[in-house]
Amino acid sequence: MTAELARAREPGAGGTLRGALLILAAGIVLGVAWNALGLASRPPYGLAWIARPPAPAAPSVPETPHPIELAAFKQLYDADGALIVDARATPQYEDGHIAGAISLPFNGAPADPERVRRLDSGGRPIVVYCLSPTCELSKDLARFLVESGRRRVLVFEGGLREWEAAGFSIVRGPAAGSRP
Amino acid sequence: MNALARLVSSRALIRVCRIALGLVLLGAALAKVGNPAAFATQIHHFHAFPVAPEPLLAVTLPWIELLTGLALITGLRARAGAWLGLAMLVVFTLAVAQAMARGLNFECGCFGNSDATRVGVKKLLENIALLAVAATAARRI
Repeated sequence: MTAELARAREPGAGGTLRGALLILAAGIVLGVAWNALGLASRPPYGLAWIARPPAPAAPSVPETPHPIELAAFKQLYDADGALIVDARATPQYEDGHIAGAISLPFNGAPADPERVRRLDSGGRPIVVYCLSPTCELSKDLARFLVESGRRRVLVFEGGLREWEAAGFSIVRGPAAGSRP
Repeated sequence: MNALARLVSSRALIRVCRIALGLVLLGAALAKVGNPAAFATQIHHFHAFPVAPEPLLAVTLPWIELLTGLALITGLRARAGAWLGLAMLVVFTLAVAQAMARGLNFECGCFGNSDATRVGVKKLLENIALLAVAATAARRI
């Protein structure tokens, strides 16, 4: 009898659907309102409503990051001719990274513009990498660096996997390590 | 089998599942509500949705998760919240599965910026476990 009474209190399918739609609608309204307030605040913290389409090629568009192959990257690396940046999260960086690479996790970069500004390449190109060709972090970080005003940003798309497979130097731990 | 059916239908288990699911959704929402830009980037990594409406999804989904979590924890429209949570988890699981099938390799960001869990088998199994909890939570007390 108690179970039947309890069952009688819970709504049926129609009531459940109405409740779900109500929660959905309220969430959408709150999200839109929160973002509208964010766009109106100074400085704005809201998100533009529609994603920007890819920018067409034009002289005023900042340069886009270029891919770099392993052989060319290794030449730059041996000559200490680039600042190497690892775009992965800190735990993955500490598990193993290219010797001499600094850690700048993409997931924290947009929230810490000061850290990006302090990045000192000494006038050299910046080469960004992550784990492998299917990893998006290096491309995202490279794009973010270019949008932040950096020039000569390259993406080593082969990533740590290709570097390690070629038998080149990997170090573990939080320190960048020195190039051999 | 009868014992299992009785266990899954027990009010105590359903209530526990509702609260557990609610806490997970609430935690996920609070981690994302304050940083829609980062969440929009994470959504983009899945390459599962058209690009133009991604900001709208990034702005509204955390709030839907938040209200669903609150509904489950407070017991106010809990069953509706459980069904909504179940529907969201089905979509998330499919998104993870298609990213894996396409060989995409990135951090899920399911629990905000600090969530470094990569899209992969572990994330898929986590989602399937949550689906089981949500399915139990959606049962009528």
